[in-house]
Amino acid sequence: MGNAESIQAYEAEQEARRSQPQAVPRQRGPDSQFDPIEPSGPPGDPNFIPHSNFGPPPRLPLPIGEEVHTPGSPIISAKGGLSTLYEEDLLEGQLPRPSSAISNTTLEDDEYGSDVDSQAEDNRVRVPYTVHWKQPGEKVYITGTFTGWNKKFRLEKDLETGHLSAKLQLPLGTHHVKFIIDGIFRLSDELPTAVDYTNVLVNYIEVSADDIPNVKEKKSEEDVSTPQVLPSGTEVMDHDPGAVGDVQLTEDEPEPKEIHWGRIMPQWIKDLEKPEGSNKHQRAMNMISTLPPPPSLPKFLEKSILNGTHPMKDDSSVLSMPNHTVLNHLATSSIKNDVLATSTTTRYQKKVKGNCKGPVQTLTKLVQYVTTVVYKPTDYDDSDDEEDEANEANETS
Amino acid sequence: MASLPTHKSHEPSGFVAPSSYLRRSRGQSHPNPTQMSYGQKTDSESAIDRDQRLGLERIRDFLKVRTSYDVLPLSFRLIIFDTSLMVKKSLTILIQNGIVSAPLWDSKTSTFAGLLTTSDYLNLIQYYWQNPEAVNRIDQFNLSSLRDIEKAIGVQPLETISIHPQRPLYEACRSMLESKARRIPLVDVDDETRRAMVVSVVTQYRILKFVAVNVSETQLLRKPLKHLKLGTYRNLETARMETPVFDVIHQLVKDSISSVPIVNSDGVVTNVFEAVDVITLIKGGMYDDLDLNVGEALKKRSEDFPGIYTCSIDDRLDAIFDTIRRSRVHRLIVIDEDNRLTGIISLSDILEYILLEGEGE
Repeated sequence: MGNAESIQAYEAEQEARRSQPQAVPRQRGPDSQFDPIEPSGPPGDPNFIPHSNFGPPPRLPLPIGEEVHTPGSPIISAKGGLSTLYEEDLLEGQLPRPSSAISNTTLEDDEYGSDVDSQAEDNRVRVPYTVHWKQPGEKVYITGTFTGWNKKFRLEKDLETGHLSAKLQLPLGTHHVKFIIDGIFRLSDELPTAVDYTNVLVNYIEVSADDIPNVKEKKSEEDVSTPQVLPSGTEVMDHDPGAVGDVQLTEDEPEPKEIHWGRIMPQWIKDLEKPEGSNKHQRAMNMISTLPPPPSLPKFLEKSILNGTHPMKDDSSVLSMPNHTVLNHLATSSIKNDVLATSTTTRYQKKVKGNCKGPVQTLTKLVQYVTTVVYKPTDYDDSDDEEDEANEANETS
Repeated sequence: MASLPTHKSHEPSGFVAPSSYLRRSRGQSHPNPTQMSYGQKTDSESAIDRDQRLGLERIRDFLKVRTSYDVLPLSFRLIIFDTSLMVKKSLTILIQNGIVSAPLWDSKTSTFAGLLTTSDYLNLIQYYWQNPEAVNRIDQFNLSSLRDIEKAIGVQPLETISIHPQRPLYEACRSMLESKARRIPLVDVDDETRRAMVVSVVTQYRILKFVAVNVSETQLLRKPLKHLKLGTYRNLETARMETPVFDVIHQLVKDSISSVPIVNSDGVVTNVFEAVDVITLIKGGMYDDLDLNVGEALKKRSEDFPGIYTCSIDDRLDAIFDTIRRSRVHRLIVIDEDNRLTGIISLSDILEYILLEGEGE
């Protein structure tokens, strides 16, 4: 219910009645939303968190939503890089395909080894990910949005299993991939499929923070800038607390101290109701001016994917990838014409055949994001009071 | 359009693809009479026929391997209407969201209650026409009363077919063709509540787009339309710009078609009235605008109307698939060199052709 509280606070701000400033330190999300101006909080205010601490969100990667606006993120490449390629192809009436992946040069010319040093060119956290190809094919490559579709990586034969595989270093997020088998684009039966924004059927790989092996956290300071992954055989038994600060994987939110939390509204807030010009009112106003601004709407709530621009102009039912923080939340619209719209984004499950050794097993995979909007009339009683609620945007978790 | 016997694909094929062995053996014993109508067959023609058959087989293989689920993008929106919603408000919401149909949810029973489509609004207009004294009540109708209305005027109820998302796409297509539905809801059972839940709705348009983008063998479909049994060319319903829009709506309902071409006195196609145009027409105070003529009614179309797509009988399916891949096509108007109306190819026609052509049903 923390969200609800912060929104109430937000709404209160809208009414210029700054209530519940105590809630500030509890919300990291809202904190990062402060304007880069100096907060007006008094020096030494224990509630005040300096900007330098506003860093990344508690749980490191917001693999989807936060990365949308980061240049070079997997999602942006899916939208930008991929679709532009396709659009060009579409204009020529050709079959859409990432043309740069099948270039005119020979396969060997632009082939990259599976050690993939060239990938580690930015600071994004990368996670080792092994792709397999068990279907027929001699020369097998993988390409995808993780390289902007313009590099491909050869899958080598694993001597133990006899299967083709490649070890990739993938940034966190969702990556669209396709395999190139003897020069032809193919899909793997073992990875989930979906259509991208141009309706092209692709495999995709999801890399989440949970996939980061423990070795990541053991990295030393300088490793942060050039992420390298230790051999996967390396077992790290103990969690090294000293390294936590490098990559903020854990919710090591600094717990503010000496703050009194309570349910009783301070008297001076109540005094705001007193007539203007009165001493108590004046004192309350002075009090307010010393406080940092109340938290604004958490960023992820501002970015409802329903309110955002649609990735496909032709098809408003295709949405951008939701930030995982909005999953399983109920959002409501304002009530208009006695109609209330509620929406919730969930992951829809798909059962796929497992690709593990041994007998084929059925696995449940959470794949697509379904954002369901239900329109329902509110006029069970015909009072007009409902109009008053019209400006509220409620969120409950 | 009825599926007519094929006039091709019976020549012994020297080309064997893996799928050749999967094909059902067809009635080879009775040669198709229409085959003779082509006159002398050259080798190049038979190569085209062979490719056409191969292309269709590849599309069918693809539709059988892929599921309805595969058509869905990674993140998508589904808009559901509660059945207690007023008809009038449902129109506003459709327009706001740029959609033309929505699954219905009965919150009293917590069940999926069918699909609301433009046909339901057309039926409502028919009802209004038959019961003009009911005009005041019509404003009070909610979506669940649409069923009673449809019963009253004796038409099929709301579309209630559905399919599980993980059934092959081929089944979804067959199911749509059989029920003449243009879209099919994907319904799964919720793991927790054990109740049916609508995951998405797949349209013929989306399926054909999916095929066009992902099956490169659509390029093999090089036979011109004039040699295919694809589309409607006879007894076409048409209207003039001056025709009252209500008459056009009646044409739509009578033949359960989704569009009526608008022609001038020379038979030149000037526009097309589509069933979805009705939504903008009746959104406001309901049925006053039904007195307009077609020309006036079409002026109310939204700015982003994608336009009318035309083709000639010399065009080929590969080009049509290219067009579907690039654009928002819902039908193609077949015209001659003077832009006169020759025929109409609906998405159902294309779907029926790629699914059933040569299947001997």
